[in-house]
Amino acid sequence: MKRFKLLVMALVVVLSAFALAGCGSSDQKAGDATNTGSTDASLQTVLDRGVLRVGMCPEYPPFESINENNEIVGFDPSLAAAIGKEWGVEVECINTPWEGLIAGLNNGDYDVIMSAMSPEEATAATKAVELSENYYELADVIVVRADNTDIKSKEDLAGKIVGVQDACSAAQAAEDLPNQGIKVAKLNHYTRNAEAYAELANGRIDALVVSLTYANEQAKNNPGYKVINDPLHNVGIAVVAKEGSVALINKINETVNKLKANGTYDEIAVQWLAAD
Amino acid sequence: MTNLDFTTLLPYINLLPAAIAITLQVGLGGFILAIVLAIVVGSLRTRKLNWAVHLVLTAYVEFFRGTPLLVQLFVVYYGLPSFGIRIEPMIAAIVTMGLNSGAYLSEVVRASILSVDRGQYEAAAMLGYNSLQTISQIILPQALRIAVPTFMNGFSSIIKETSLISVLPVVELTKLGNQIYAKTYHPFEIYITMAIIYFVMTYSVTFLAKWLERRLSVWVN
Repeated sequence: MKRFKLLVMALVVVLSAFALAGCGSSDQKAGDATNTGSTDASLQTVLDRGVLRVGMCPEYPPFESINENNEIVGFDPSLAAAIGKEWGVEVECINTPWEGLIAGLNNGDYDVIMSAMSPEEATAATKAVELSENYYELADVIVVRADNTDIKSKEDLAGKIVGVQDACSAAQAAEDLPNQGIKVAKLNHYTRNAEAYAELANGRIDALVVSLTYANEQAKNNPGYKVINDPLHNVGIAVVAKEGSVALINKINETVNKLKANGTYDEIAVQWLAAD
Repeated sequence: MTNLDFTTLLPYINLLPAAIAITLQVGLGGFILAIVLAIVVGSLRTRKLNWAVHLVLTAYVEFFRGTPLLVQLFVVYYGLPSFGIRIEPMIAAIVTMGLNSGAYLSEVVRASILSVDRGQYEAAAMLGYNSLQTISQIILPQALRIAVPTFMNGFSSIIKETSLISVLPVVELTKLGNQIYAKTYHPFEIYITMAIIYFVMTYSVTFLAKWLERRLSVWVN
């Protein structure tokens, strides 16, 4: 009996240690912030290394996706490359799953996240981040099957089954619908947008909510879908860095503004995001 | 039903070998670690032990059997850095797969050892074997022969479970599949192809297992 008690105790200790590990990341960051608060080496570290490491989940064309040569391409990698060129450093895009992006940032796997992440998405995960100014605005819109005729605005979503990708701005927008008096029959969360699209094609859901750029890209590839241009809301996307990386974020803001002024930003936007 | 068009995958075919190699590395690495752990932990757990060792081993087995592998992967890779332990993604994947599978397989080893007849111990003691000689030369060879089919079962599972490491920044077969899927929007073609690759990998293990079983059982018949 004594042994049994000890066993239970040991299990409790082990499990709580792991439970702490889950939320421990925020404690750790608080510690980091105090360390880096006085001497913010975030920018200098990158310049000294000569490499800006950017975390992204390449499952979100046209912002980022892999090509036939296993390179990550899209709006974010191109913008990151332009920033790196300004600084005279290499840019390395680090292929990371969406759910691991913030954890990987805290882990130090990369310096910043550029993965079409909105400030809301980043701060939903943890408050302990530094955010750049929004470098792009995108709208979350409704997509339905091309033959659908009864959904024309977000109000028509009432009583419908709606799908979204988990833990992203579209999910936040869809979860917010009841607060606007629009009661959907059911809100299904998927790991990736691609799964929500498959469900829409299968007819298990009536509509999905996704960003306008992704929806346009998809509609271009597949005539079976129709984009309803009644934005649920507009979200900005920002560069996300670890709390305390103020110098790095300031420099990124400065460089993005420069790229906007000299036309480089527009070239990249036209190349990847031009919706037609 | 969607029309299947496997030609959409063709441009990405050259990405498969690297992803398969990673899946195999994690699968094999995890399996080898699992076997070593299973034999050590499994044989220790059949004996009367110091309570502290007993506690640690029991906690290990019960924890890794009782929690989802996905959670373990997350905790090991994303959680441990909070305690200052930083592990490369590949190492984290192999270690976690090995620890997880080792916990299951250690029970197989334990059961196999318990299935060896009591008389074998008595005969060994009669012949003057000490306890280490008895376990390593008399009991384990017999026990492991019994364990081989289940071990191979474990290998098949481990190969398929490597799909869970797609939550780490490691591009193995499943993650590559997801990323091609995100790009081409052809889920069925991609997942069917992946399923075939996983099947080929695990089915070839079945042949290895049959050969091994035959070899190890020669003296029985």
